[in-house]
Amino acid sequence: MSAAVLGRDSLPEAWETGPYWQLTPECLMVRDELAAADPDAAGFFARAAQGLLHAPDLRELEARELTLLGRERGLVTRALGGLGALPVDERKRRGRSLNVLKRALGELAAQRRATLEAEGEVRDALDVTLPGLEPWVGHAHVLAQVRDELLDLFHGLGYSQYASPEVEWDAWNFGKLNFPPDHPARDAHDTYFVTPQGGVAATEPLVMRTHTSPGWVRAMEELEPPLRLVFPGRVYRAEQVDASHMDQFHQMDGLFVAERVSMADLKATLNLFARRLVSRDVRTRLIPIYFPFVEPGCQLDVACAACGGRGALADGARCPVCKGSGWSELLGAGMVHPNVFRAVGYDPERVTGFAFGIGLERTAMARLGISEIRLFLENDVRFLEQF
Amino acid sequence: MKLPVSWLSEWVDVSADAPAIADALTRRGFYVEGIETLGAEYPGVVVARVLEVARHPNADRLSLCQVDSGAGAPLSVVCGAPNVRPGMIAALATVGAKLPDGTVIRRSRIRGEESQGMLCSARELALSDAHEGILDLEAFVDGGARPLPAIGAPIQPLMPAPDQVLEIEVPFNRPDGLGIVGLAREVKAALNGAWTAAARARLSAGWSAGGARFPVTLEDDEGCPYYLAQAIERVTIGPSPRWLQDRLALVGQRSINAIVDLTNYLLHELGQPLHAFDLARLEGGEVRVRRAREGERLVTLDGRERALTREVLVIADRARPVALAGIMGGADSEVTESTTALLLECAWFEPRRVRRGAKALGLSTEASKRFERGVDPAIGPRAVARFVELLLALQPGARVAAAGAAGAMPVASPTITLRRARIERLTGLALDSATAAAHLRALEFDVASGAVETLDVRVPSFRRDVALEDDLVEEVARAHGYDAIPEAPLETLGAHATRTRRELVLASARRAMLARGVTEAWTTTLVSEREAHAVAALLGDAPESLVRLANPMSRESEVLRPNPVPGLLRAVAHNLKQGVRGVRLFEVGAGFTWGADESNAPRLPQETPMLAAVATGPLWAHAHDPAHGAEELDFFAAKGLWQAWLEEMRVDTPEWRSYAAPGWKPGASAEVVAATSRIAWAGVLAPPLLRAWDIEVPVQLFVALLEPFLTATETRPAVRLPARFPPVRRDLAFFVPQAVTHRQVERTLVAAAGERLASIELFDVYHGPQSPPGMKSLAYGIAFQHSERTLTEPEVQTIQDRMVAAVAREWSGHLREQR
Repeated sequence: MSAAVLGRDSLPEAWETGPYWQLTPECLMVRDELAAADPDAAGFFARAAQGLLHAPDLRELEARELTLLGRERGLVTRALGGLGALPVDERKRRGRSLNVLKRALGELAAQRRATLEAEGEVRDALDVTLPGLEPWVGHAHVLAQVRDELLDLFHGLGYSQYASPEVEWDAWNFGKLNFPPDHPARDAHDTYFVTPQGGVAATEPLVMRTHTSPGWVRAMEELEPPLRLVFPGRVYRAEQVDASHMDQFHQMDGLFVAERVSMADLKATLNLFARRLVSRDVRTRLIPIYFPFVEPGCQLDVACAACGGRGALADGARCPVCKGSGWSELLGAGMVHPNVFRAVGYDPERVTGFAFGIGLERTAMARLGISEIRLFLENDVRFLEQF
Repeated sequence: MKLPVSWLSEWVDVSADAPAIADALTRRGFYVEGIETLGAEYPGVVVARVLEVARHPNADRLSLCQVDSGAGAPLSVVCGAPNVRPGMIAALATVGAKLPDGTVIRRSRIRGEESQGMLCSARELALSDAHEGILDLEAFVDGGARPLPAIGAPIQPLMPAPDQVLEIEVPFNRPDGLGIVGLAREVKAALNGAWTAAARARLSAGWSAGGARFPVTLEDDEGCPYYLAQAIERVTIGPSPRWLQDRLALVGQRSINAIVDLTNYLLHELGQPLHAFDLARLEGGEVRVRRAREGERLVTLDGRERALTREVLVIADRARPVALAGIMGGADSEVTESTTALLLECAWFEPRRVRRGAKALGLSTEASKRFERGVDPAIGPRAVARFVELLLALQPGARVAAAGAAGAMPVASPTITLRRARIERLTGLALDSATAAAHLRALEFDVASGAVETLDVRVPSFRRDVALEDDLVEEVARAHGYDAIPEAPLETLGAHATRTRRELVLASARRAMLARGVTEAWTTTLVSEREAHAVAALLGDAPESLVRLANPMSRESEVLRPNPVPGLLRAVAHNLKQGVRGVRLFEVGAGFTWGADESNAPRLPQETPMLAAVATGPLWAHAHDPAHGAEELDFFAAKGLWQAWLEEMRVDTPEWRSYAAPGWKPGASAEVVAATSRIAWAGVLAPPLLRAWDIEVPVQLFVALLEPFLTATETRPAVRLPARFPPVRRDLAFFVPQAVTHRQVERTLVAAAGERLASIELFDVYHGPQSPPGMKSLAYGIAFQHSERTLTEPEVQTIQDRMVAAVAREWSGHLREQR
C-alpha cells in the first residue's frame, strides 16, 4: 500500500467542524512544517487535528484516536508501516514528516482528553452540601459529663472513688453521722423509707439515702486512714417535684482524713474546685453553716454570676439570682465531727479530716445557666444531644 | 426568722445599717436571705374630715364628698369607697401629693365632676392589701385611744416608722436564734455593740411564785422538768394596741387579741413559747403535766379534734387534757371575750418529747419548733416577769394572783476545756488564748482567765448546742471569721488515686454503648407498681422480689425499679410525643430487688449494676437517599449493635439463645450466655407491654448485667499473629431442615473443619420455591489457611468433604451448590 493514501480525504469531512483558524498556533506551526515537505500530509494533519480538537466526547475522541493512531489499524501507524517499501530518500523524508504528524496528533489527543475529562468532572460533580448518610451519634448525659469532670479533678488530687448503696440503714444515713433519733436536723432531710423484705419490721429502718455522706461511714468502717475518697451517686428526698426540686438528684461527697488535716487544707481544695469549675479568678467566701456531721461546718459561696457579685444589675435593680447578696451558694463542707469519727472507730485525737458535698445538678445548672431541674431526668433527646 | 432592725435596736446599741448587720450575721452562720424595707413617705397626704357625702350625679357607685383639709374652703373629692360617711376622719392625698407607689395626685375630672384630691385606702398607703374602703384614721389609731393630730396635719406621724426586716435562715442547732434576744446577742458580739439599758433590765428581771400558790403537778417530769404558772385576774380581752399589732406584723404574726398577742410577742422576742389559759375553764383550778392516755381526745385551737397517744405530753386539769404541751392549746380553755382571769404557762418541755408528740400528731407550730430545738431553760422567770410587766402596762386594772412553780430549771452549763492547739489543728488559725477567750466572752461564754495553752469555758444556758471542745473551736473560728483561715498549699505529693474495677467497668460499658451511637439517659429510680411488674417479668424476676417505698409521694413513684427499663420507656414515650422519630437511649444504673436469702437476718436489697438500652425508629439517623431512608431498625440491625457492644466489652464467644418471657414479642427475643452465666437479654418488646407506656411503634431492648464484668478476672488470650500465606476461600450452601439453627450448623462446620479453618461467615439464608419441602438453605463463606505454607487444593477438598459429611450426619443436610 502506498503512503500517499494519507491525505485530507482519508478522513471524514465531518471532522472539520470549524475553520482553520481555530487551530492552535502550535498546530499551524506543525501544518506549515509539513506543508513544506509533504502537502498531502499537511492536509491530512489539518483535518485530523480538527477532528481531535473538536471531538464532542470522550468516546468519539477515543474512536478518532483509534482511527488515526490505533496500534494495528490506525492510518498513521499503517502509513509508517508502509515506509519500508519506499526508496531510501523518500523513506527518510516521509518518515520524518509522519513522525512529526504522529507526535503532534498524540499530543492533541491527550490535550483534548484532558479537556473533556475536566468538563465531565464538572458535569458529574457531587452536591457536597447534601447531607451524608448519618449514623447515630451517642451523647453522654450532661450530669455524667459534670461528674466525670469532677472525678478527673479529684483523681488528680489523689481521691479514689468509693461506692455505697442507695438503699441504706437509717443508722448509716443518720445516726452514725451524728443525727441522733428525733433530731430536728432530720427535718431538712425529707426521707423516703423502704419497706423491709416481706414487710417484716426490722430493728433498724431502711431509707433511700438522703445524701452521699453514708459512704464516708462505710469507707471509714472498711479502711484505715489516711483516706482520700469521693462518693458520687444518686440521693433521694421525699419532696414535691417542681422546677427547682426533684425527689431524686445527685451529689458527690469528698473526704480527706489524715493525721493533720485542717480547714486551711479544705479552703485550698474548695478554692481550687471553684477556680476550675467557674473561672480562674472567681471570688469566693467561706461562711459558717450547720450540718450535724461536721464541726466546724462551712459553706463555699462564689460571686454571683448574674450580677458579678455586685448584688445589683446594670440598671441598679436588685439582682434576682442572688437576691441582692452578690453571692451564690456552691457547696457545703466542714471538718468531720468527732462523733462521726467515734462512730466508725477512729480516734478524733489521732486523726482529723474534712469533707465536702457537691450537688451535680446545682453545678450543672449554674454552668449551663438553666433553672429547670426536671430536664435532667426527663431525657428529652433534644436536650441531651446538646452536650 | 424575721429580725426587724427597730426591734433589734431596742435590745442592742450598734452603729451599723441593715446591710452591715446582715453581712455580719451571714458571716457568723446566720444566713440572711434578704432584707425587706418597710414604711414609706407620704408628702402631701393629710388628716382630713369628710363633711358631706352626696351621690355622684353621673355614676351610681361614686360619691361626691366635701372634705375639710384644714386649709381654706372645703375641697370637692370624688370617692368610690362604700364606707365613706360624713364626719369620718380619713387620709386625704391633696393635689400634688405623692403616694408610696409613686402616683402623683392631680386635679382631675371624674365623670364630669371635679376632684381635688383622693381619699386613701390602706393599700394606697402601702399599709396592707385592704382595698375595700378608705382607711378610717380614728379606728386606725386604737379606736381613738391615741390623740389624732389636727385636721390638715400630715399623716406621716401616724404611719408605721420606716423599718427594715432581715429574713434569716436560723441553723437547726441554734434555737437561741429563734428569738430577737439571741440574734441581738450575736449582732452585739459581731459588731462590738452593747446591750441597751432596757435589755439589761429585761435580762435581769426576776420573778418568783410569791403569794397564793397555784397547784402544778409534774406527773412526767422527764417530759416536763420545769413549769411556771402565773394567774392574772381582772383582765379584759380586746384588740391589741397598734404598736403591738405592728410589731407582730413585722415578724409575720397575725394579731388575735391582746393576751394572745403578748404571748406571741414574747415567743418572738425571747424565744420562749408561752400559753394563756382561761383560768375559769381549768377544772379544779390546777394543772397536771402528763402523758396523754390512749383514747383521749382534744380539740385544739385550730378547731381540729385530735386523737392522742401515749407519745403526746399534755397539760391537763383535774379532768381532761387542756393543751398539747409545747405544741398547741385546746379550744376549750383558750382565752375568749368572756375571759376575766387567765393562767399564764411558761414551761420547759423536753425537746425529743415535743418532737415525738408533734410527729405523732402531724402538727408543727412556732412553739413546737422552738421546744424541739431547745429553749433557753433560764429565760422562764424573765419571760413571766416581762409578760406581767407588759400586761399591767396595757391593763393597769389587772391583778397578779396565785402562782406556781414546779420542778427545777434544767440548766446544764458544762465547763469545757479548750486547747489552743486544737483550734490550730482543726482550723489552721494560730490564735493566742487571749484572742480566743475574747471571742468567747463576747458571746457570753464564761472563760476562766490566766491559762496560756488551755481555756476552761463555761457554756451559757442558751447555748445548748455547745457540748464538745470542737464546738468551741467553731465558736472561736466563726467569731474570728472564716476569711482569716489561711489557704494551705495543696499536699498532693504521694497522693495517688486508684480506679476501682467497678469504676472502670461502668465507664467502659458507657463508652462502648456511646460508640454504638446510643445516647446516655439518666432515668428515675422510682416507678409505679405496674411498671415494675412489667419489667421485672422481662428478666424473670418475681413480683415478690420488688422493693417498695413505705411512704411514697405518688403512685407513679412507689417501687424501686428492678432494672432501668421503665425510665427508658418513659423517655421513649416522651420523645415520640414530642415528634422525635428515632430514639436510641441507654442507661448504666442499678436495679433493685430482694434477692433470695434463707436466713431472716435484716438486710439491704440487692443493687444490681446493669446496662439497659432501647432503640426505635430509622436505621440511619439521617438519610436523604430513598434507597436507605426507608429502612427501620429491626431485630438483626439492633442485634448488631448489641454484638458490637459485647465485643468491645471483650465478651468471648457470647452464645445467643432463643428466650421467652412475658413482655417480649414471642419468637423475637434472646438471652446471651457467656462462659457459664447469662449476661444479657435482647429482643423486640411486645405491643401490649409497650401500650402501657403509650408507645405504638416497635422498640428493641437490650439489658446486660454488669456484675459478671466486675468479678471476671482479666485473662489476656495469647496473641495470634496474622498468617502470611494466602487463605483459600470456599462458599458452601447447605439445605438443612427448617428447625435447625444457624448456630447448630456453624458449630458442626467449625468442629469438622479443624485447625485449618481461618474464618466462617453466614452470607445467605433462603427458603422458598428453590428449596426442598421443609428445608432451608444456609450459605457460608469459609476461608482455610495454614500458618506456615500455602494450602494445596487436595488438602482443602479433604477438609471440605469432612464438613459436608458432618452436616449430613448431624443435621440431615446436603450440599446445595458449590461456587
